[in-house]
Amino acid sequence: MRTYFLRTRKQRRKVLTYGLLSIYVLLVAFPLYWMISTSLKSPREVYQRESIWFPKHPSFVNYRDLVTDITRPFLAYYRNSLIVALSTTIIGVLISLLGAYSITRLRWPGKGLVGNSILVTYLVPVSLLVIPLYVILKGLNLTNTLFGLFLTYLTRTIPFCTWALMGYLKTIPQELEDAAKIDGSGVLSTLFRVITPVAMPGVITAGIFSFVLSWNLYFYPLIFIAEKEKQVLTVGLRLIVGGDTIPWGTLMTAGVLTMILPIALFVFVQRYVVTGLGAGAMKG
Amino acid sequence: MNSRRRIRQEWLVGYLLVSPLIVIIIGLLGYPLGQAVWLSFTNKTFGHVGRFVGLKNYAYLLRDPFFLLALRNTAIYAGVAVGIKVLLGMGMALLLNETFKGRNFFRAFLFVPWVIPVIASALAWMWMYDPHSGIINHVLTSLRLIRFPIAWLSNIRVALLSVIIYNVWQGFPFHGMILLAGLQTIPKELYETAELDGASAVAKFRYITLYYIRLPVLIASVLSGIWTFNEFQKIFILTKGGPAKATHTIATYTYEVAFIEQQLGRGEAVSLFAAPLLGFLIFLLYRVLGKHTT
Repeated sequence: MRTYFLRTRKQRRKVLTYGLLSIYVLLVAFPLYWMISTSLKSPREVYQRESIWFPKHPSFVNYRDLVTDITRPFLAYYRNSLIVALSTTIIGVLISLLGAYSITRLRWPGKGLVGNSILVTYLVPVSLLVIPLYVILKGLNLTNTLFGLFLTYLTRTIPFCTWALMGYLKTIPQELEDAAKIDGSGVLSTLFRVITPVAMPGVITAGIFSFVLSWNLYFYPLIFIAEKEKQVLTVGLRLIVGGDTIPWGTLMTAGVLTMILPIALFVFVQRYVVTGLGAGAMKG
Repeated sequence: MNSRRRIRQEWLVGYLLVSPLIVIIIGLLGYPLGQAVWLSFTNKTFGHVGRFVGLKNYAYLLRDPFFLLALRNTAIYAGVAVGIKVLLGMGMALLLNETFKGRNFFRAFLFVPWVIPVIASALAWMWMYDPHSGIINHVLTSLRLIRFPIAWLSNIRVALLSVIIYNVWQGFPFHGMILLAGLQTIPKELYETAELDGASAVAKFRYITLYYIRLPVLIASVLSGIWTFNEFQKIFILTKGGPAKATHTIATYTYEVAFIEQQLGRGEAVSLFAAPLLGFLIFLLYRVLGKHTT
């Protein structure tokens, strides 16, 4: 029976495909499952052998406590992260789009240098910049402020977004723009009315990239924010649990709530990301 | 005359549009970079203005066994992790390029580790690695593969490996996606022609698939090599560079020296010491990207 089943090449290929797929899915899904199932366990159940694979009495008590317990500023961290990530994304993508358009489509002396060095600036390690940036923010009185975080986050998102958008804009035919120019359209209106709609997959990719990156940044807030209430989620997650024993139920709950937003965003725009990422990476 | 004015106008508009970008790059990247280099030649500490000390910080580090260990760890961490990520990413890309039911769903699903915040997945892995109640030790002892629980993150012999495993889990989808985009550029007819000529599956993979995706593979590897090289958050959350400073890399050791030992100047020197190697990787990336566009 088995030899019959695996006789044709097509069938063998099918079995191989589904086998490999199961391994990959298990690999990716297990840590996620472990996080979610722990978040549904009561503090006692977390350490019990009988309930190690799945909660015997699933409850949302961890979620309720995390959101309502005012001694844990979880919601404040969430809000701070949201403010910084959204403002970095919107302003950063706008600046990158203007820059990328200027570099790929307009002629001015020195643009070759700017275009070629933009990616290098993205690759400068955070650990190198964190000390001088701390000194600068301190001098401007911007430590312990979300605005200071916003400014420094921009330096992480803008170089990559500009580079990716340059790659995308290059794929848009020049004729499209020339037609708009003949119709008497100005530079800005050409950019926003003609180019941007066509470049939307690239813009969305850049936006998702900025948001996920800003939502993720850890080193800068760790150094620049000392006041507990001003902290963002990444660093704050460890602050919501004091003491020596780690309440894993609470922590996994916070983790689930932290990852919901990026996942939702990703699901929403997934089809753009693959094309956008592809164009950015493939077209250089 | 008219055309000259037109060119001038284009210059002006060009500069105007790019100026916010330039201001931010110079003000918050170029200037601090210069400061960083300067600081590394001083003995600056918190609250004290640094004095120029020449190459003293660098000389000190060359005799610092923890720095040398961090340098070695960084090389192992980046090298091993990227190698495995390339292989896993290749498998993922080949898999997702096949036709099967629900392919679009799985394309998105396998990308999830790269999308979710590092803090969330790092804590999940930390909990899986937990020596007493963690699932990994539970499974291994149940299967009688180990007799005593392993302290995955605080045993000097396995801690670096544990961090690498997590890094691979988090990063391989990026390789998968880049390679998948590369696979999609291969014309289908090539395989059909090769099949008519009686080419084996191995030959088709070697001469068609690998040929077409060699540059995406290189781009993804160099990029992720640079990221892994600069990695701070994952190691800092999982081990804080411990046990006994054994899992420090350049980035976490910079933090240790600058903010725990409060030697800001020497901390900068730690980061800058690795700059030539990083510069080489960036140079490599540019060469590959240059080739790719032409």
